[in-house]
Amino acid sequence: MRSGWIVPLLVSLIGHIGAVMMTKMAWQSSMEITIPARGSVVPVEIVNIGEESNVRALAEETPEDAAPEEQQQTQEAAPEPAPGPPARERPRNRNDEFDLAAAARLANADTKTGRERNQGALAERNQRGAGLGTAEVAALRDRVNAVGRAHLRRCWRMPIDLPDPDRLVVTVEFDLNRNGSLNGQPRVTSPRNYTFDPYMRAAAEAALRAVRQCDPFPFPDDAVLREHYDAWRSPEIVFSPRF
Amino acid sequence: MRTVQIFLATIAAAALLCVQAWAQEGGRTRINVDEGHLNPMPIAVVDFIAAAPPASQVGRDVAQVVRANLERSSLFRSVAPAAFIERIQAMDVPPRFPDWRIIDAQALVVGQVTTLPDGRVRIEFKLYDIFAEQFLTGFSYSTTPDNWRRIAHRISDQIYEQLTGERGYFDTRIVFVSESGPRTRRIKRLMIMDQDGANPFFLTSPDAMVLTPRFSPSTQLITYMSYETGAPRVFLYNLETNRREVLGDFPGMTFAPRFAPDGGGVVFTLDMNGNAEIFAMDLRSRQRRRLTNHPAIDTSPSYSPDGAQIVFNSDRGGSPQLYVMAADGSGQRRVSFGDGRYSTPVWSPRGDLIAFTRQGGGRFAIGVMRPDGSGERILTESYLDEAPTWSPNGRVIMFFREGRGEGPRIWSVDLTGRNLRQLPTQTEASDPAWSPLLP
Repeated sequence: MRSGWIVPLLVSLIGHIGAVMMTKMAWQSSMEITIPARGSVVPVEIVNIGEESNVRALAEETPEDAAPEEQQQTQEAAPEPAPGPPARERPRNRNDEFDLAAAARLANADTKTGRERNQGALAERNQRGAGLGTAEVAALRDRVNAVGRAHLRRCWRMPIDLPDPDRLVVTVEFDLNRNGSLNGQPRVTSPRNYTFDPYMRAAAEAALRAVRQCDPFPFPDDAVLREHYDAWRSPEIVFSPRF
Repeated sequence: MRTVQIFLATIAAAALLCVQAWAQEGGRTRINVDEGHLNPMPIAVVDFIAAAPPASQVGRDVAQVVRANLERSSLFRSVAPAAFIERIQAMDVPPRFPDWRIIDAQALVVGQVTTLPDGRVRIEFKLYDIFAEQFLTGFSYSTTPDNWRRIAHRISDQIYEQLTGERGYFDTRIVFVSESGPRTRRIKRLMIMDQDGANPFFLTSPDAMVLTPRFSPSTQLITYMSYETGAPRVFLYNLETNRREVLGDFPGMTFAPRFAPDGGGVVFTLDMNGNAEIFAMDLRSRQRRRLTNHPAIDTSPSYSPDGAQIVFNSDRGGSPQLYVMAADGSGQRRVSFGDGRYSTPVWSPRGDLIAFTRQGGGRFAIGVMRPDGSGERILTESYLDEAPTWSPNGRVIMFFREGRGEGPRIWSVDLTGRNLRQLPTQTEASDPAWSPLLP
């Protein structure tokens, strides 16, 4: 009789311990995939879905002197929004009103046209799957990228005088406080192990030094990004030296 | 049945937690940075602390030599001591990092000199990363007081290695040909000095002309060509024993010697009846082996750092060009195809590049190319630039430069083509050869 409740208790205990262990494992595996695939959606606290498509707004506000590249991107992102779930009927809030044209200009100041095209195409794809807000997310992400690049350029000493600089690509992640200051220490997430590779170690240390020297980051000084802490609270920087 | 249910429930709960953890961690905004700067890193080197006068002078001198070494590399900029806010009083107390951060120092070196009871001195240092607020490395050396300069070079190497990831090159020496006297009766003697120009002294007498000194890449052995015995001969000079010997008595002229990477062999050119060919010789057995066999001139051989290949210079194609072959002489192929005449190839100790002299349009240039001949870059050019030699870490090239009506002097340039500097020598100087790091 007594064993009648002991067995389920044991099972339950093992199950609970198992569950806790699995969350640990899940955490580890989530560390593996902290590098989001290109165009994957960056979670932003408030993804605003207004009556009018943000994508349309982007197209309308495109300045006339914009580069052809920019226009191409707008066209790609311009198709009529697919009918969405009822949640879209939410009223606009003030986050809708940020200067998308400025964000697009900043994003397009980036000369990497390949990446730009990628993100334009992905914005369209995401638009169908996840709603209109993803275009804004993409614009925000580009804005974070532009502000971050411009800031880090001054702090990063490129290791291009080391042998084979092309391979010395280092990814660093860290967390930022609301005022833009570093929260904790930056971490190298890629390469995983560079202890016995002195040139890679030098590149990794140059990357960490750049992040520390660039502390605090100017994201809160940006009128748009100030309102979107989640877009830049946990950046991941890919440093790739180019001759 | 119930057990299975419980199990399923637990698994479901675990899966839910998994998803949550992923969602929390998955959303990092990626920033791609592919542009940075190449400015030197600001570093503060504090005068090393010492209790009493003789040691305190050493402390100031060591700090000064370390600053000069790091600055000369062009990878560092020494923050002027006048700007220092914190006065370092003791080695054991960690520095006040904000005080150094505010004057823009990214690294800090503090040190101490102590006189030991036996009359020697102990010199120690600590290197800090200011922004990470971290101790990086530190060493302690004991030596006679007059040897402080070498300790300063070793400290410089430690700092350089820690901050750049490359081997240092400060605790090294340069052997070169010191030139004096009128053109018609030129005196050429072998001279050696520290890489910063300090401690120069002569190795050979003024009686015999010397040419093309070369350092062994792994030992304190020099090979050079001398007219000491009348005809030009290749000599070996052991710096540790001060012994000199002729490499071998061959028919004809021997020249352009260079060591194998392990120091156990030499490649050189032997000219018999006007046909110059490349030979390799094992220094223990004194066996020599012919590597080239061509009616054209084959000369200036230089080993790759793994000893598997040799780059050399040949005019078999009409004008002097660079060729690469296996160490046994097989697989000879041309690698230089640019305009002009290529000569004096030297394989980088890092293995990734070959330095050379290129002559064309009435000017001489020092350049580098990959061992397959691709990626040719000219680093410096003038009326006469010649005879490149690599620093042991393969980052800096020394050569000599001669102007119109001006005697030769030794210069250095780094791989990026920047940081062109003249070395201080008492006399006119040519044909530098860089030593490996001192043991």
